[in-house]
Amino acid sequence: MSTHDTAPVTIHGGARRRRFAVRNARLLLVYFILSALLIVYHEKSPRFTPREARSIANQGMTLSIVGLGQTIVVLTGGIDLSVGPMVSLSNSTAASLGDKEHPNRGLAFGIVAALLVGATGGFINGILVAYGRLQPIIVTLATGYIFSGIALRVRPNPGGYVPFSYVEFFTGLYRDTVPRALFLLAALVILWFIFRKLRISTRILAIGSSQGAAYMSGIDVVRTKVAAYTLCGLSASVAGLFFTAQTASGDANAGAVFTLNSIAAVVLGGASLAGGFGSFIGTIAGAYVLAVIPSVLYFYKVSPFYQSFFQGLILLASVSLGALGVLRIRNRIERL
Amino acid sequence: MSAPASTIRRLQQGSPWLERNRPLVIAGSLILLILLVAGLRNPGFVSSNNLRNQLVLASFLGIAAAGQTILILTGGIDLSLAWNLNFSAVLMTQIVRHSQSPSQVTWAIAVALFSAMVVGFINGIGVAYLRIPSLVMTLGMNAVLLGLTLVYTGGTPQGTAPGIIIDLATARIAGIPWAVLLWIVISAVLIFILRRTVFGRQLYAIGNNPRASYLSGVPVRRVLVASYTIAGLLAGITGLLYTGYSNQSFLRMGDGFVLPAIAAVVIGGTSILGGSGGYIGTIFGAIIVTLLQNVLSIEGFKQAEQQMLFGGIVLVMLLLYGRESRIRE
Amino acid sequence: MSLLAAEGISKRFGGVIALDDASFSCERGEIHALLGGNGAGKSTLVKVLCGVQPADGGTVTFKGDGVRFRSPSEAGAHGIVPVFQELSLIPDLTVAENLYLGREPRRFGLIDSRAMRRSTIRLFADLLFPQIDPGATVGDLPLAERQLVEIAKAISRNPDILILDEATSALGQREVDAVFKALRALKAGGMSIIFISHRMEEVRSICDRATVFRDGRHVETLDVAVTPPNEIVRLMIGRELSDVFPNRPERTDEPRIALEVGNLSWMHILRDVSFTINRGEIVGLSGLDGQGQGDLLFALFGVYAGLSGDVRVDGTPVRLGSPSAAMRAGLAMIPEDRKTQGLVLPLSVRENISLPMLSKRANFGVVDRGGEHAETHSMVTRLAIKTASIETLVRFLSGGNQQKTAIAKWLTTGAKIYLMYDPTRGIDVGTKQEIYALIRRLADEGNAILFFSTDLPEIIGLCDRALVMYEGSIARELSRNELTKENLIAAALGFLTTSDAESEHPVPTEVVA
Repeated sequence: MSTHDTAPVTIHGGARRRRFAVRNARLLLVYFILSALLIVYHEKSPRFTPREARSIANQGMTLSIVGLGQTIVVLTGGIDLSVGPMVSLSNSTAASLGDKEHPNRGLAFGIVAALLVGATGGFINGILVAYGRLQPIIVTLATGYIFSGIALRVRPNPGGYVPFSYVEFFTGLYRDTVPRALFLLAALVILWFIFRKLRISTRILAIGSSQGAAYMSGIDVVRTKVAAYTLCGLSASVAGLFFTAQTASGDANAGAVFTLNSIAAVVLGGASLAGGFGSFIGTIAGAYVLAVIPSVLYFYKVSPFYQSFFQGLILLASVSLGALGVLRIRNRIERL
Repeated sequence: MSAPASTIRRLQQGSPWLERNRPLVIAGSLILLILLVAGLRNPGFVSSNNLRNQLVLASFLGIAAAGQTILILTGGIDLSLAWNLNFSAVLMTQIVRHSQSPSQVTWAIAVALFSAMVVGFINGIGVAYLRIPSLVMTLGMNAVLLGLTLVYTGGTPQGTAPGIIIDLATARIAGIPWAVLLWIVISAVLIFILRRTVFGRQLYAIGNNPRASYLSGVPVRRVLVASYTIAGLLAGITGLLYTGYSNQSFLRMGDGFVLPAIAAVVIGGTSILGGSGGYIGTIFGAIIVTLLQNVLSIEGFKQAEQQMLFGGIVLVMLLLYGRESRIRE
Repeated sequence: MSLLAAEGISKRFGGVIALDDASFSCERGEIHALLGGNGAGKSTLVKVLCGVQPADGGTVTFKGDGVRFRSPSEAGAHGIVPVFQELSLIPDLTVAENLYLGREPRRFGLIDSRAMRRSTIRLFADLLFPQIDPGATVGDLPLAERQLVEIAKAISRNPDILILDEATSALGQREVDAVFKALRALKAGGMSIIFISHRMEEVRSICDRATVFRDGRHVETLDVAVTPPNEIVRLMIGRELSDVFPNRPERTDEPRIALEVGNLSWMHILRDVSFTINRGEIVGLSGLDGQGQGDLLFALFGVYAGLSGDVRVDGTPVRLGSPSAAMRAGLAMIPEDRKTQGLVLPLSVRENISLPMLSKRANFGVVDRGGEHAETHSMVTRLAIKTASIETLVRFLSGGNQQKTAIAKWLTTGAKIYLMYDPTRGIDVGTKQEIYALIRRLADEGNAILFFSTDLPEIIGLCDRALVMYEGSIARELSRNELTKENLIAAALGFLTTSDAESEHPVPTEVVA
């Protein structure tokens, strides 16, 4: 968490090149882990039916979408601890606006409201961080509380109405073979690639890499950060909408788990918490690794109590492998 | 310059003591404000009984936040507090499940605290030697400990807290709860360490600039490992105390400590970036958080409003403390 | 009418007055130097001109209009572009991305990477800079190349006024020549350049006029070509410059070896380095940039793992496992960057000076406050560190005093061997003198000093001997009689010259840069 700016230290070519290779290796590593898990899963499960594919696709989907926003914020060198509560809030809003009498109208309201709430919440985070110059971890911790509270107000008890057509549309199978969620995922990936070709993504990376230099280069740090956090809030609310499709209900407490898991997904995907480096492509793999583990354990008849244990272990192992490179660094300052 | 003129000038410029200790002054004022306002509306709030109970609760939070303070000073954080605490708690109660003999109880407490320290030690190794960001390291350990606790207890923690622990958490001596006394002792020790010892100085140096500290001969990594180990121990102590207070260990008992502990540290004026602040502020912060939670429920706020208000107050306090310096500098 | 005219500019930071009714003017198509010691106000003036800091008072007129820039981008849009010593490059982006940051070429709304790459190559070719891979990540480049990218980036924005604030500090001779060539061409094309540097030779080589600042005020504007260097220095520090370098005593007693390095190697950066330093000697370390000099210092201070070869202090072999181990062996290092390596800026003078010896001077882990105060006070006096009190945070000190603090803390350790990395870089002339005198005193007291500097006059003026490094090993050792510019440069380039240069003891009229 310590964000000490890099000095003009003469870091030796050897250590720098190794660091570059190490950083990209993390991306390969997480996909390797994901593949290994999927293979292991395939071994044990009776047949790889479309229903299974759908189940897996859906399990990782909410987390992936949350991860998208979290990735963007992490790239600026910040963090957003309010994404979980925002998922809850979006979910509660959408489900509460659902209307049995007029399902489509209710749904439309619900979706629009949820997106607005997400963007607004993210915008507020951005203003506090960028204009208020407060530290992201504390700000989003506090706003997370606030969003949670609002969600409880909106939905004091789990419930609400979600039309089945909505559920089917997002979590079902297309033509009974391909999980629809994958289309959504593909759309997000395309959006990400477009995003990387937009100027704003370069600005975001610049701020995360060296905020002072970014300012000196004429980048409007405040506006860019506000944009990043707004996007994060928006993506959290989109994730909440998918979550609504998954659970077909609104629950003000259900989203909390996504906060720390989204951070784990982003880190597994190889992003640097200090900012300036990372990709949604990696985050997706990270999210799915975390989501697939419970299923793998199930098929290996391992007690579900071990889920969290293995998720934590894989996170630590993945980060350690990258960090083992540290031990080979010959410049001890770099080892700090 | 004549005497009155220079005094006026000094007042206009503001007292440097005030500037430096701004967060403490604001936090202290807030405590008084809460006591005043809540006391006027609900006299029962300021009864010695209630205040004593609140202080006991604050002491739990305060000890948990002590570990956070140390780590945040170095630029880190401890997200493994929740399940480290929990795991130690279940270790203790399950070991004395069948026998509460003195030797068994001592063994249980020793094992529980040792486990907490080992967790902290592992965190320290990961952060200091493997250069894993503390957020990630403690996050991962938290998940691992969650799993371990579930497996170890089979989903249902057994046993009750040993008598001595229950006494420590709930009993009093000369009207002062043991728990508060323990907090006072820990506070005194911690403040002394931070202000007067080599270790404390090194912590601040590392929190401000680990590389320059290393080049000045500070054994950076060793100091970090020690800090995480101490933080682990403090988490363990909190877990045992809370178990005594609740009579037994239960799942998710640590969840309510993490965010409030971090809030307490920050409200106390310690910078989340590391290198500045101290434990006195955290003491104020822990008291504020505890009192706030109490006040909000007395006033009849439902959980929803409590959360919203709590978050809002934290934000306001942060804004009052003065923002971080300009981007450029 | 001047292109740029600043009148009556004032600026203060807290209690410190940085600019006091300062004035400055610059014409079209000239290279104008801005000279002055640390704290003279040069950098502050530049920051005001570029919109990084607002002035408290005064007016700035640019192209006839009054202006007041509120941000670097606003100043840049008007045509004033700075290049600072602290780089404004983004480490995680590529060279091309950095050059075009904020104005990337686009196709159908998306960034066109190929066009960016081509433009970058073309830019470097036009400027006659050595080519740097546009796709290289800036953070991976050595410091000299990063400075070139920085300068190229500023020039590519076609400013009316280009400001170079110590922007050539890390460049070697070859790169400096390339940059100067480009600057002359740009001047011919009508660009104005404000040039701030402590390297007097560079100033004399390329600048037309120079303005001297002192204590935040304008002192004089002069014509560089006709003003003797001593006069310039007198204007800068306000007094006659006596011999800059202290006298070097003749060695009469038997030399005693303090440090002995044998076949030291590390990765491919240090190869078979062998030399000795005697007690009382100041041995210089020279050579082109990046030949391993800084690495040698790091290696001797225990920062590098995997060393082969041996190192002996006073005859005893030492294992350099960490800076603490090096300290215990009697070594001390003043590192390259005082702000990020040499000092903990947010801490006080006292806390910084006491840091290395904290545990040694403690009682059972408790800090010895009384001793700490006494020792800090004595250091402040001994080194004449200008500070309001020992509790002042080091970041409020001027560069020269910061460096003195960085040196002072090592004096408390009783070290016998001092490793110094360009200790006077970016420091004003007056303080430099004091530091030279201090270093000579240290040597006279029996300590050994290994002194790395990129400034040749310093090596010639201060050192008893010099080791010139080339590609990781010692190419040539020059004795005092052989210490001339020609020999140093020749050795640096890898030529083994015959030591026919029997120059007289150099008299320091050449102003130290």
